[in-house]
Amino acid sequence: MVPLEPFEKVFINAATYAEIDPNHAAVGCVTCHGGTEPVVAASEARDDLWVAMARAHEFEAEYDDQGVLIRRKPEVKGVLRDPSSQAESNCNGAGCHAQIVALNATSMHTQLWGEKHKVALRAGVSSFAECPQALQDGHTTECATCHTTCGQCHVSRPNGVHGGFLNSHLFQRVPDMENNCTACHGSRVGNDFTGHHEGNRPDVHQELGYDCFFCHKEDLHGDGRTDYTSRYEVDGLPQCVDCHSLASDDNLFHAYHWPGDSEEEGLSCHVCHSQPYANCLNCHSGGVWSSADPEGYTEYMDFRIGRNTGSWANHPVEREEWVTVRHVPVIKDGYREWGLPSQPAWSAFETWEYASPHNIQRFTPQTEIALTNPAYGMADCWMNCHVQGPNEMENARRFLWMSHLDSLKSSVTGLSDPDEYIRANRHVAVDDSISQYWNRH
Amino acid sequence: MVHPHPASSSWSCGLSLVVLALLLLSCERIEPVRQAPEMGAESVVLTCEGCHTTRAYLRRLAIDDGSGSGGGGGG
Repeated sequence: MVPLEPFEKVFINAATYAEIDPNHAAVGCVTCHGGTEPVVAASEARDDLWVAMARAHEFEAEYDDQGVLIRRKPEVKGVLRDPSSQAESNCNGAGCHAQIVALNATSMHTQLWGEKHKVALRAGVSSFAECPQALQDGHTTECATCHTTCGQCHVSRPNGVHGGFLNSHLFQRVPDMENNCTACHGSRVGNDFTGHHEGNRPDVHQELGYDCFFCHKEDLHGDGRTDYTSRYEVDGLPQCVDCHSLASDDNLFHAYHWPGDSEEEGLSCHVCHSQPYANCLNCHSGGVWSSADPEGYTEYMDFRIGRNTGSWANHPVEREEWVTVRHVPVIKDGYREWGLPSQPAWSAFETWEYASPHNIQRFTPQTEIALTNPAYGMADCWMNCHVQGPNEMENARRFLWMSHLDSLKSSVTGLSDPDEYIRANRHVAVDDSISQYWNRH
Repeated sequence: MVHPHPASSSWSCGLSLVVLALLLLSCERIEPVRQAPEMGAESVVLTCEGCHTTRAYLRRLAIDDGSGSGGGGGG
């Protein structure tokens, strides 16, 4: 994402704001942003203008020992860069957006319910409010700062990419995929969707010209619920079957593996139709990467099939036995920079989690066998997945085996007992007890 | 139907023209930096739009370049 020039962050590209947004212009700048308007400068001399500007932005102009003005803006000014950070008083100041502001205060984007739930689980308490204060503070000041305000979706790019207007100061009803959605959800979703990773194609839906909202119809402002334990509980999440049904897409592959027909045979769509996706080995807090790797941040491409542990209501893949899983960057001493050397119940939740890679293709290494090798017919469809036959070793690498966990455990820092890593993930992994179905054809 | 008194209509029309002229002048003076005669010849009044619009920005650039105070176009 190309950073915006400074002037693109503060200048309205018009003669007056009313030219582009008469409704919000009628409210007036200072009503939302605070500050003082108008102010009088003693003259057009730059120092006089600076002093007046300081008064408009409600900070004290500074002078050195010689009485010479120091042109330095302080960290804290009277004006708000993002008035929607105080949405209750600014976006709803005159009851303008009352309902949506109230809803959004409880939304997943605002509250990160799922993340807070897991933070609490791993801290060994039953709710985020019971977590140690240092943990709550660290999460609030670092993790939660990306997630997000009205303005960071509807007026500007998010703070995480240093802001800047989307289109002058025009309020956009629908956020922009590149400048808003994938500005935050870029390293996984965005890079997958656009085919950023070497060897991958873009998601077929992107190739067809669709953006996030073609599939994501759920209300991102929330529904008022405050007891979510996962983002996958949100009502109305996209499901492939919203558009694709067995009736319309019937073939031998689907007939065998459509979820819900058999516990062992049910695959999530991603198992066959995803390309490799990004995984992480570490996380960061206090600006420091926690890693066994001196290079710090460690992202790597992988594709792993594991057992589905999702048991939440509304979970988009609740009937699937096998799903794609991603190594998420949660390590036991990840919060040490916040003064928390460890997470007492770290193994309470797996670190190989259900993944919904946004790089769907009809033909992937898992599905293309019958097309790429004329010697194979549809009856040989198993050859690129089942742990059998000429591709057995390559196919086996697509599963999350216990042996793979064993090989990774040394790269996860902070464990007092390396086997704790295996215990946290053993119910996701497959081992020698993998269904006989997968070992035959 | 009630017709306005001719003299009243003329007076009203004149007043409207004056108000319109004042408004136009006022609009012209909602520039990045505008004169405030009551504050003295040197004083200027600053508004938010006076600094945070493209027109204001271009005007400021022109001043900084020493090429005068001609306003740039918006849009």
